[in-house]
Amino acid sequence: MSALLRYESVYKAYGPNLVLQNINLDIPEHSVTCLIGASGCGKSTLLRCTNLLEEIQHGSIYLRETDLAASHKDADALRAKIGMVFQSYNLFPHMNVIKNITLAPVRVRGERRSDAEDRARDLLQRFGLLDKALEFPDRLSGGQQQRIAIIRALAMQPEVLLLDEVTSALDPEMVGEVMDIIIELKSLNMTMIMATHQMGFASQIADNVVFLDRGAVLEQGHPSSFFGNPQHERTRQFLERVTMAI
Amino acid sequence: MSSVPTPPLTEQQVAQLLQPKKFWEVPGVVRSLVIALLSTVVIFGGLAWLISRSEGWDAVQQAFFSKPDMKKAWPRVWQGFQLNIKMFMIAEPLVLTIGLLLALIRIGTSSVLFPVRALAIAYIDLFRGAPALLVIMMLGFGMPGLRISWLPADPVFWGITACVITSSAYTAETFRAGIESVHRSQRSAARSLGLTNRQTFQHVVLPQGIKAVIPPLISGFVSLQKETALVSTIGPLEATRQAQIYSSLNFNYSSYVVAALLFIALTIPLARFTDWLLQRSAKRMQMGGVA
Repeated sequence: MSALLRYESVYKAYGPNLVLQNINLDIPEHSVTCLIGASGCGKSTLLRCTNLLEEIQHGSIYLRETDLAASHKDADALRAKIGMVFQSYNLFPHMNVIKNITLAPVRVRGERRSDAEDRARDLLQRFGLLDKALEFPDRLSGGQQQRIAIIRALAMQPEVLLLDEVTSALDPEMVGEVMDIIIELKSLNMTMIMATHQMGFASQIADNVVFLDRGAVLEQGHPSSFFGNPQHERTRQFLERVTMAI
Repeated sequence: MSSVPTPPLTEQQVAQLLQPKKFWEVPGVVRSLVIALLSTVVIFGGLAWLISRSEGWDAVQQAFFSKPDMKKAWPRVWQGFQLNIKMFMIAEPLVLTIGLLLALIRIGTSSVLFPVRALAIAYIDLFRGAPALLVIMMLGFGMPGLRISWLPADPVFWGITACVITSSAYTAETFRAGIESVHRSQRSAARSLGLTNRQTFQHVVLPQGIKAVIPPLISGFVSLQKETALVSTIGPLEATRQAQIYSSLNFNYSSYVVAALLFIALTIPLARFTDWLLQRSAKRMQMGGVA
């Protein structure tokens, strides 16, 4: 078993509504997994459960050997190993860019502030945002904010990065700059799980595409087979609908 | 419709369009100004005319706005006002500290601390509901009346205490509203980075929550400044009390007007400051309206 993350028979309910059922999934190290499916199919919930922002009712999620669902005592330490980026960026509006990026390294990992800032500047430099280091989030475009949010997650040197529809709130002309970062991260061997509505991007970047339907994994596969020859009727219908929309 | 297409504007014409306008060049501004001026003159002039030709105006003017009396009352009222400022300066930091503490206790969810939380809620309900004047009198007359030797008997002390008690109950609710206004997604973001619940609250939620309620907090300052006038009922020689003494010695109320003017002079800068803060945050909202 070489999976970095492994979901075993995961069930999650909100009150009387079952939102995840019997999820079994392997996420190999250095792979990119794209979660696709209609709104409300459970993509975001699966990511939030992975990052322990939500509790699951049954099953296990293993990060290497550790069952995330079981060991809630050190949940904070585990979360720090799993980076997450949100649709609405969620930068801290009362802190400038550098503070946003260094807050967790300083407070959680106990890095010295100067070291954390040096590393933050390196990251900003690499992604072409060094000139924004001292800006506050409300002075940045959506695309810039989302790229900073990704850098903020990277600053914790996570083992896996969860991307929850990170381009959905962006103006079309800014989608590209965020996608470019993700492509670069793939080339750096970052393990990523990405919920997305961008089928073109998924087929370009994914090692594995997972189609979620009503909280269950209906079908998964390499993008060439998944998009080229979907097995299930519902998968076909979904793909037709989204390609028609484009 | 003419068949000849309208020619595009020349560069000069476009440049003219882009010229910043002086405010009186904006269409309609002069008209609005004139109307505003006229209506102000009519309304205030009318009121002044009505009041000044009423039968008792001379007597009222003599009783409330007599310049010689104002001058005579000034030294003692001003001296008293310094006590108001002192009470306010001592009370405000305590109000902020205790208010924040109460809000934190109230927001907490630990089951061990339930009794403390229940106490905080009772405190807030009680002292937000009780009129400040009654609390001042109960403490000011009641506590010394207990004749407990180690309790201070100074009415200034009890006046400040009463102001702190009532204002902190209000302030606690202001802080709570601010903290609860911070969006859940901010917590998610902080927790996802590995921050503990406590760190999330301390570094992410609390600073934003406090920032959100700075204008209502300043309104609270203004109320507290005025509340110090109520302490006069238990004896300290603050501005209102001094004005009262002057008035009863000289059969003239102008001293009260002097006290009122002093309070107004103290609160107006704060009110303008609040306006400025609100305006600034409104502008920021417009600029950062994406998220």
